[in-house]
Amino acid sequence: MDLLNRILYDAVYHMTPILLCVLGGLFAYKAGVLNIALEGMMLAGSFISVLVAMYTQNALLIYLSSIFVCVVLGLVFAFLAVNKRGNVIIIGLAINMIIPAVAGFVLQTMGVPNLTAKWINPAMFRIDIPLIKDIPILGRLFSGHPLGTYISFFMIFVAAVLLYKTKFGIYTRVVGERPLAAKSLGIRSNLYATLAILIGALLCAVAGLNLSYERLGIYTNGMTAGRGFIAIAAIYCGKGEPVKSSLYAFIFGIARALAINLSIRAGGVAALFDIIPYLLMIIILAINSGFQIRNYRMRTYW
Amino acid sequence: MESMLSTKDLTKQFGDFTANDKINFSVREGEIKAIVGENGAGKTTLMNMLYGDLEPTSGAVFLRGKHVRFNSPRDAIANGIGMVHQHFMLVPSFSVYENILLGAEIVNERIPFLVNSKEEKQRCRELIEKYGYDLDVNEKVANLSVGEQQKIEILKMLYRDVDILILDEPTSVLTPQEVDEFLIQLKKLKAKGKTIIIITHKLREVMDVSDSVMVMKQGQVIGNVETDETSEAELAQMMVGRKVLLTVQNDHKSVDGRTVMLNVNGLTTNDAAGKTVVNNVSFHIETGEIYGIAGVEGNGQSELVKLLSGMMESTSGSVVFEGQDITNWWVNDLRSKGIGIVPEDRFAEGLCKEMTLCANSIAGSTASKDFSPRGVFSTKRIRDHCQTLIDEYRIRIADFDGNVSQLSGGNAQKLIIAREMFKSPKLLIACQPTRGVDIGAIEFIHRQIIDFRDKGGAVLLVSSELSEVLSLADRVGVMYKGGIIGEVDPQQTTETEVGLLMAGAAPRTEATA
Amino acid sequence: MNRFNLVKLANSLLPVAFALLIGAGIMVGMGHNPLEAYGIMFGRSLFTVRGLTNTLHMASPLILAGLAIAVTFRANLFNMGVEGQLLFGGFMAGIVGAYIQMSSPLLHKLLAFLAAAAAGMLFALLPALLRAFLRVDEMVVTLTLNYVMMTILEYLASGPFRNQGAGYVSTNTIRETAMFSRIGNTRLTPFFIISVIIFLLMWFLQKKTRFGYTVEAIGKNPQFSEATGLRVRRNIVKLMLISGALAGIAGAGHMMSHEFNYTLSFSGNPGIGWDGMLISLLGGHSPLGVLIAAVFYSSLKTGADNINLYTGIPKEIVAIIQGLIILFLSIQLIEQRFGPVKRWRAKRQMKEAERGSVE
Repeated sequence: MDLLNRILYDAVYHMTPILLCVLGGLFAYKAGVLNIALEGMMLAGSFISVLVAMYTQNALLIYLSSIFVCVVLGLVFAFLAVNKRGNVIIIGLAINMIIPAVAGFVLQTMGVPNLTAKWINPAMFRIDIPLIKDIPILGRLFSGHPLGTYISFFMIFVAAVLLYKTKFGIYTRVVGERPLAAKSLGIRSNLYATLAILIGALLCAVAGLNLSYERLGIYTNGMTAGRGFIAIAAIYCGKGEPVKSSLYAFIFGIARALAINLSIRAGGVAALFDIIPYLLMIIILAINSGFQIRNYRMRTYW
Repeated sequence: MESMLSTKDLTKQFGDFTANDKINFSVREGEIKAIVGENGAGKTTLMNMLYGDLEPTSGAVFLRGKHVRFNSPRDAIANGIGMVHQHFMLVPSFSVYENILLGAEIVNERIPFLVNSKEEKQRCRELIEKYGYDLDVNEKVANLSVGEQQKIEILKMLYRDVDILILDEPTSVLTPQEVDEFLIQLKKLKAKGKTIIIITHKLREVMDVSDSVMVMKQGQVIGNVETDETSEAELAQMMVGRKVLLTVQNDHKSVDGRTVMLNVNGLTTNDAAGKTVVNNVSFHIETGEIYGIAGVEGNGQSELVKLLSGMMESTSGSVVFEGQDITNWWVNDLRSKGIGIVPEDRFAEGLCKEMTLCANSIAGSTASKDFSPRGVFSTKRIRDHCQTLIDEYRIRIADFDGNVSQLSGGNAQKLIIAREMFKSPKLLIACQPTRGVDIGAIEFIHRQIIDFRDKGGAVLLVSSELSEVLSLADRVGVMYKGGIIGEVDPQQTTETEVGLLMAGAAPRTEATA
Repeated sequence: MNRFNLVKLANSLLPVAFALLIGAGIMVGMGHNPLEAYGIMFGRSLFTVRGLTNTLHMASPLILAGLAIAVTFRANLFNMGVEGQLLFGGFMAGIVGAYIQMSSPLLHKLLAFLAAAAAGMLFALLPALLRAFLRVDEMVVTLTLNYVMMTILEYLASGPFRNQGAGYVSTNTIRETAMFSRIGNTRLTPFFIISVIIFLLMWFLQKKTRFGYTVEAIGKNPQFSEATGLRVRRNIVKLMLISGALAGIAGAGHMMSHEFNYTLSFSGNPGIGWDGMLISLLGGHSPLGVLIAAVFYSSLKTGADNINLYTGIPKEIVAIIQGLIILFLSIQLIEQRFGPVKRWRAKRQMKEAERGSVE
């Protein structure tokens, strides 16, 4: 029971940054832009949050500075990808490369191997929800988590409403699915694609905050460890639908939680548990795609 | 009568190419105006400028005598001009009502950023009722027929209360029956006071429905006439600039000692959604015979050609070529057996626009020792080969070392036919061989096909131009909903009879029985 | 040289110029003299015998990594797994080099190369098959497999194959028979010559044979390729395998000529595979372009060490410049008729057309 509780809690814990990336990234996905810079943006959010936290304890300032930097990155991405029609994969890779380089540059200049905001104690961010916290199982899932987690839960609902019940969401989906239809009705494709990318950047900032500032207050280069790509996979698997994609994010969270909690028993090989979410994702992608093309008789390249 | 919408010296250039040259166009309020012309005459370009989709290079547009400038389709719609494109601008995963209201969503009164879908559905139902259509607002567009989708496109514009409706090639995808219904709808719209501009190259429809006609050719206006003062023949002559021979010289001479070349038996396949698109198709082609496939587009002809040319897999049935089972063989194997293929989409499957003429001239034969004697390409041999094709088929080129993108539709098609014929195939599969090709090239291509037949070759000719199939083929199968609904002898039948088959009417043999 | 090639050249040179300019801006901001820094960087890596041979030595695996990416890029495939394939290849060469005893130095190296090429191909096979037969985006799969590969290799290097004597995670040093010896008193080894030979081979295949035709046709119009009998799926698998083999060989060469054991920083940061990506982009995905870009890029890398040594600027400045180069390479600064942008757009349009069955 204790193990189960721990696994559930850890699943949510590890799901949070991925879920935030998923919910941010799915807008760009729906707008027809593949944003693989989620990884770099998340890393930037982590880096800035701890960097600022080393000089101030003002939570608002920490949040705002992270978000600001990520939105700027989002603007760069959007400008190059949407306005300049650049190759989104290459732009994404470039951002994923520049962020750790800049962070490494700053770390070198400061002469430290990683950043630590010593005043941060993860316990101080835990928010217990009265009543729920005492319910078995649910309590571990929905209580005792930091702000970022609650934002991520709330965002599932917000994303669904935004995507399906507002003009913004409707237009964004049209831009991705039928750009010509959008153009013929005078829908400003560039505007909606840009906004979709910016939502992604914003939530990546929150994901980054959750990963470093809300955990141990430590930043190390490469700490995002491919979570951005897992988020992309979750979006792909869930076809960009908020609830479905979130479920995949949760599956990845569980895989990670299992890997960590079982490593205590398994010893050195436990490191290999870390590849489970990645392999799982490839399998899901393959099954999904195989199912989609089961009736496909064309021999053209896809 | 006052002119509703007009242009003065409207010009559009794409680089060096003038798509529209000083067009003076005018449509009266409440009339149906037809714009006719061959492919590439600049009709669509003109309409896109009127609709704010393209910015004119020079010239002006006047609406009710007032100079207007549209920066986007949205401007045009706001000024009461709506357009239905040839390729529909619908979102397949959206429902009917979402598509109709796309861009004009009704928001919730209390929470203004939320869309009020209940109200939207209600308004759509009212609109559908007002114009007497039959559509379910909740149905997903992906599940609708082409005719129904067209209705949605029109409703989309009607909802926006446009006074002027531009329709680009609206009947090209409809069955003859759907066309008739559509033309009646157009007249109803006119009766409700709408001004309608219809782009087409089908003269029968022009004569049937329009009040006046403008003829375009190579980006210029050739003439403006009142419909009741002209005839189909006169319009056709204006369109192509000379008298048109509407028939092909074909003596249907029979070759001696015919044998069966290709035997297709019960061929069936389905599309990506699992729907059967080719259904139990059986026919055979003999040596020295042209077998034609007629039918309204989208009834499985494209898929049948893909199946026979190795681009698609069948789920059941068989294909036998010269006694050998070639069912589901891949393209390279089919080609090496002596099957030449002129594909439907010449720039997607026939040629690679971004590769050179030479590279395209050896496509399909790259493994041949003729071009790479010792495993290494011989530039000289390839160039000689390409030059031969160009000379023999009188292909007009600008730059021998340039890319295929320099070729016009007709010359591109000639290059494909030259390439395929050069390998002296036994069977030629030709799908829409003259679509979008100028009249001169059409005659040339028809001649090639007939000569090939006369030398004993077998031809499968698939075309949505009924007159082409009927004048070239020795036997014609009519496709409807994936199956061959009937087979006719083109010398014994009429277009009307075939038209009935195309619409799915029971074959004649059963009707008389 | 016609206009087309000039535009192509400008589109490769301008991003470099812009990136160096921004790099200079950062240096000025930190109170350094950028001219002096760049002078040290390029002067010491290109204009001294020692520096130049150093640069060419470091360029050897980069040439192969660049070719590995270029060959898939030209066919409109995105093998982002070159880094993982290279690591796997390097690791396998390390194992063969350290654990297998052979008397012939030539055969030992050959065996190591073969093992590495096989490893690279094995890694590339899964995304290739998924791509060709199940339509799974090869880019997402290869990117993901990189993480899987790194994790597995980290485990192997720190567990079963760890050199217990070393104070950090590392495999045993390879035997002398598996080591390339230096040419003269430079750092160059015969591996550089092997790289150049492979480059010549790829250049020849690309220009003069059916292989080049196939790659070009698939990249420019896959439907056309299939319709004229080029068997696209089969060729995609083939190309990915070639790419994987090249990456594996790059890793093996790097192991046997430079690293001699597998550590967690075997291919540096960003790794050689990622460098290959930039090199391929910079070289316009043509073999000759890749060769030139690899040498230039290598001079950046060797220059980075000098910049750290002789000025107070952190060497990460070079990684920033690299990233910026890629960023600027993503857009066509000057429109050209054909490039990755257009290919990407065409790919999108194809997908869109496929989805839009309403027409």
